[in-house]
Amino acid sequence: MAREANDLIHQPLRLKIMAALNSLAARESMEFTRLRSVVEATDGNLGAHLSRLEDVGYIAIEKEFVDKKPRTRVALTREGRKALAMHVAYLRDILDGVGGP
Amino acid sequence: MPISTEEAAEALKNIALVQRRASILRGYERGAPHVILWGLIWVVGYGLSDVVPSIAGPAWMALNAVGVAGSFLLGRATLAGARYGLRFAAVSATMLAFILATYYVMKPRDAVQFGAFPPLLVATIYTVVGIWRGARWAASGVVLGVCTVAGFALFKEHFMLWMAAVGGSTLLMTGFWLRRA
Repeated sequence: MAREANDLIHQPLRLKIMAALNSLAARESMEFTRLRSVVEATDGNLGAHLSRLEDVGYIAIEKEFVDKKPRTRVALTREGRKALAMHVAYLRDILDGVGGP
Repeated sequence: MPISTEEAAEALKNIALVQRRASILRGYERGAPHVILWGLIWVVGYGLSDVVPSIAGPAWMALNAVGVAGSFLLGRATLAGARYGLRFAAVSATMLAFILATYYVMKPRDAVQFGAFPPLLVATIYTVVGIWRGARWAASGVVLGVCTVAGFALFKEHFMLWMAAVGGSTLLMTGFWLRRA
């Protein structure tokens, strides 16, 4: 059975965010500033896409204060990891000539 | 919306690039505190070796024990898991064991040779790691290696002091540079 594209994840920056977070171990999270460096995005752009991904439950955002400075950490949820895996499988299917247009 | 073959290939390429970049930056983040710790140990150890050479042996034994224990604690703290702490401590212990085994087999003739070998080993490891996993490791390895050989060639009289100042500083600056990546 052919897999389906995940349009939400396929947006270029969101795909980068998901891929970066997917490189972490199951319980690990990444600091906002680190994620910004990895995906090469601006604060505002990254923040908007993170909110979108959080809304659908693909990522979890945790805000805390360290030495009185706000720190934001982002992690991929189990649903997010699964959704990315399915989308990547769909992309591979396209290259293998199994699915897609 | 259907995705073309070209788009799919581009997306998979971007995923691979981002994961590689994330992995390199995570390596910097994890390695930085350990490099800073060993930088401090080198400043103290090589400094004592120059100022009070008679206690250099016991001082290095104590400092190396601090380094292995510190690697364990840093690994456990930064990654929230004893497994990683043990792994970092094992890396430090393995390097120390290799250095001691090499001393036993090769039998250095003087204190300067004893002192020059560990930095050259660290420089080689950083450079090799950097070739595959991040240019900052390679750059630091090259600088450390060049400084060690330069000190050995030009400042043999005060090589230990040279390594305390230049070698220790190189590690400290490397640690802070990795942390800022």
